[in-house]
Amino acid sequence: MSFPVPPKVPMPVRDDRLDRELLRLVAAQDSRALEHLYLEYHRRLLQFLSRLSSQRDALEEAINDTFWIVWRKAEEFRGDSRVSTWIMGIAWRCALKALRRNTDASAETLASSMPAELPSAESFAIEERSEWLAHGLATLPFEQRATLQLAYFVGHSCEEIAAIMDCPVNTVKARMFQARIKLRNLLPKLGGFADAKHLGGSQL
Amino acid sequence: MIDTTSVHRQAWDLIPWIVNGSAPESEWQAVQAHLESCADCREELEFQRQLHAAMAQQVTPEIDVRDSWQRLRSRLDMASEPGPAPARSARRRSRGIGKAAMPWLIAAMVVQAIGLAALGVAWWSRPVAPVALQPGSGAVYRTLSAPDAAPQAATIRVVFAPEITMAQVQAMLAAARLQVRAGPSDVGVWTLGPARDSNRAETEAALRELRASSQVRFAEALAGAP
Repeated sequence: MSFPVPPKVPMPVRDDRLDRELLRLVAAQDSRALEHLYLEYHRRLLQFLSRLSSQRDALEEAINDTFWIVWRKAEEFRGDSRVSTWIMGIAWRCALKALRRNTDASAETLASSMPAELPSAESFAIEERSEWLAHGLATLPFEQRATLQLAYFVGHSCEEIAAIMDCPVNTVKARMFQARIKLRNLLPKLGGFADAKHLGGSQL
Repeated sequence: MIDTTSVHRQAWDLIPWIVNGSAPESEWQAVQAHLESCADCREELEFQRQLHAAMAQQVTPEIDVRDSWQRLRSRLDMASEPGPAPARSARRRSRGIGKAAMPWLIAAMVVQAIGLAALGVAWWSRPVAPVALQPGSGAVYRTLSAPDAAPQAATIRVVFAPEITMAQVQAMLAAARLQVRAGPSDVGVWTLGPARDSNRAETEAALRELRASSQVRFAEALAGAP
């Protein structure tokens, strides 16, 4: 039996050579290069950060804080990782500071907006499933949600996420493990996914 | 003897990285071999694929990227000016600084322009001093909002490339019908104004001309510029 090769990640992989050249110009305080980098990364950062908070002001604050640091620290980039990993790492640290204080409130707001009685799985349209997925993600602890987001929405590898979140690879694996277990318990009820008969694998 | 539990756990851990396409080919092959005999992992792979696809369909909020960039650029500009560094936190605080500081800065630049104009008037009109006075009413005071100050007002800030020559600056300003009002500052910011009366469209045309030049690193209209 063979299994199809998984589809490519939704976020296109950036050309690191171009990013490095832009960052070199930013290090020389070229504001046009910073603007170019900003416009290129804004949507990527917004997609990542918007899964961590629904606070619009906090999102823009975190994105602009990220590029404020990029502007000031570009010359300190040593090329140990891809530029995208370096920028996402800064965004993650900014998110921790700017968004964390809003996260609990956001999750509570999402949770309180959920109906008391869940409709049947068959009644969910794709849009509704997406909405329920957002509810499910909101119940995850901050680090687990960010890990899942970086992996599935941005397409980073386990090692890259460890660099972004400044933690050991095993911590990333553990966070992903916990997130998967929790979502397998939640999402079949919330979003019409297949029944979770084997929560994380019976042999684990 | 192969430890099947360990193999299963390794395969199970790798599934997200198989799904997002970041796992190397060797790991994908190892997982594929395990999938043939493990219904749990096949189901988990399918579930994670569904989750991956559903997350890709999630709606991202719309934030005007140009507006956001302008706010960051204002913050960077404020930081490049001499004086205390701006607050770290971006939006609300930088907006607060902008609101508080910009009128003061504009007023200071207008005062400076008027001061220079007054010096010029005083210099050139020394022999005809009575012209500057209203008969019987003492000195004439010019307010900051006096309309005849407008042609002297600064409208644009610009930073040129470090390698630009003075001749190039002069040619560029002449082409854009601009004159230097102040600068360059310690960080290389020039403050410019129109060579003659101008309106908003002319200011924007001059800005476009400046920005089109590879010798211009940065150019923006001052708040309140005509």
